[in-house]
Amino acid sequence: MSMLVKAKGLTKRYGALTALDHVDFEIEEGRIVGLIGPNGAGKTTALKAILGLTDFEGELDVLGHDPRGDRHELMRQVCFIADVAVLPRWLRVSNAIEYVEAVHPGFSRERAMHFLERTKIKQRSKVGELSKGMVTQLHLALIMAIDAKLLVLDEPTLGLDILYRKEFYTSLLNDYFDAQRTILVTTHQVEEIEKILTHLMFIDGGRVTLNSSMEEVAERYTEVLVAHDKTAAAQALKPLYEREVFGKKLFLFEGASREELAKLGELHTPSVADIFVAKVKGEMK
Amino acid sequence: MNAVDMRINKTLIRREFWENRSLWLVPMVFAAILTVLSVYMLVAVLVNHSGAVNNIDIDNGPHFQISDMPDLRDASDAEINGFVRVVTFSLSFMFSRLMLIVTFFYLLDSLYADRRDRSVLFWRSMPVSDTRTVLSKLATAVIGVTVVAFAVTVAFELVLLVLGLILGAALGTHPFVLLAHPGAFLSSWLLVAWGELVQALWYLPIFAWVMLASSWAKKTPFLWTVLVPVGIIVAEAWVFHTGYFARMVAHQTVDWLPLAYNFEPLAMKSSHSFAEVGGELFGIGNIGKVLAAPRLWIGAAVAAVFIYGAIELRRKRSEI
Repeated sequence: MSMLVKAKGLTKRYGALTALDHVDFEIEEGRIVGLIGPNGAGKTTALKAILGLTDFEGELDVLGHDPRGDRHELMRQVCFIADVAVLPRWLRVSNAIEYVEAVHPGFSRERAMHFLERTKIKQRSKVGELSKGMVTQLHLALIMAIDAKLLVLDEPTLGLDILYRKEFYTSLLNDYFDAQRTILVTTHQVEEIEKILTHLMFIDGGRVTLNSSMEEVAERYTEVLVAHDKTAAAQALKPLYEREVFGKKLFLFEGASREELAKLGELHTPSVADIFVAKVKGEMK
Repeated sequence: MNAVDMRINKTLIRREFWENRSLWLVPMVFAAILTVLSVYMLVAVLVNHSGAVNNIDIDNGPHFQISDMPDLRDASDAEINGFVRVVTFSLSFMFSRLMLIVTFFYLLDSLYADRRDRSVLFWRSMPVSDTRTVLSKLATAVIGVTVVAFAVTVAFELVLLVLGLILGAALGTHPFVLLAHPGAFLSSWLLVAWGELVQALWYLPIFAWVMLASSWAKKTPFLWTVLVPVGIIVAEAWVFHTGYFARMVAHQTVDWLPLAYNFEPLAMKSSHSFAEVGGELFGIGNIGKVLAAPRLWIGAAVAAVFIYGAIELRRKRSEI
């Protein structure tokens, strides 16, 4: 197992605003990492830094490259779809394929055609004639046909309907992902990706607040549905977060002993979204 | 350069023509319009001629008698060379002015349009360096546009030749003699191609400046491109009451002409026959003159600075 991304003291300031504040993290090969954070938390800045699209302070190593200087070298092994990266309206589908095929050594025309066959996109069409969803499908087909070590997806399914969104993540897992590949994905639709993630990274206020495997997350976080007579006992165990559900209290604990919690009520494994809300709200207190 | 690199460069330039259809549509449409006009005039002349009208009255201008038309069989080789050359050069000159305008607008958008429509991140997600991207756009302006303009010009001239042959035949000037002089056409085209190459080299700093402005502008690159030099000209006139900068820019656009071609022998005579235009327009010495011109090298150095700036901005400014 090798480290694909190593960040140490990664910092990015936009004037007075600190988007990333001395962030350390590592991403190992073969993982699917979900990067989750509220708007303006620094997610996109972190991705941009990894992709060589912005300057930064601190150390960052992506596949042995400093992304600031060797962006084009890096792009041989790294692919990305950013929610803000759009295909130009004048581009013809056939030309887009021709272009990527010529400039990208890892691109496979067959694979791109394979992905496009499942869509209604015609070779002769121009991007400007396609619907928003179809443009995303085309972009995904182009990117997924590239044999890359690291795939970065920034809100990849924005504008897609539910049918295609499901299909996209299934095909990402079945047709694309393998042990040599690594995927870094951000989205607001956490519930869509939570089943496919191997690792979870929370970023909030320019800092990484959580970075662990999904197994660790499942072990570390527990939700307990507590009847009103036991809420004081639950509060004594210092929950991360509490909320009212059906006249009972739902507590979310971090790192508490399951045996002890079981005495208080029914145990649940919280969803990523719940943990995220708890972390963000919990820290505000 | 290996085959892969060649293919990438070719694709990058093709990409520019996909995006900027005006680069080939404008000269083609222009040539098509000229062709329609020429055919119209040809038909008009033929109709007049067959109606036994020997005078062609063009807006009450000077009348000329069709009976005055020279019989090309009497023309010397030098005269035919000169005639072909004059026609070729005038047409090419027209097309090359047109292409300068098209190129200017192409370059204005070259490093700005993809930032405006936000596709820049898609292009930058490909393993193509910013240096290569910027240079491919410059190469499109200098080489791509020149080749297209040249091809369209030659094609149009061939069409015009056919029309001319029909007209000449109808008027009894025995124009098919021209076909016995393919060398006159080939050498004219070579000379035109040479002129366009030299012109492109002289325009390098101007092209590079437009690209720098295109790379810099957050909106309306046109204003940056035009206002900065105009500002310099106005400031110079205001402060020093001089006009060096304006003259420098103006010279850059025309000074290549007397270096690339020999106009002196022509200029010394008061009237020119076709035979004189044919002979001495170009010699090996012109290549030496062009290469020895300080303007070429200073211009190239200035262009290099501007292009370097455009590449750096491209690296740092992926968004507007």
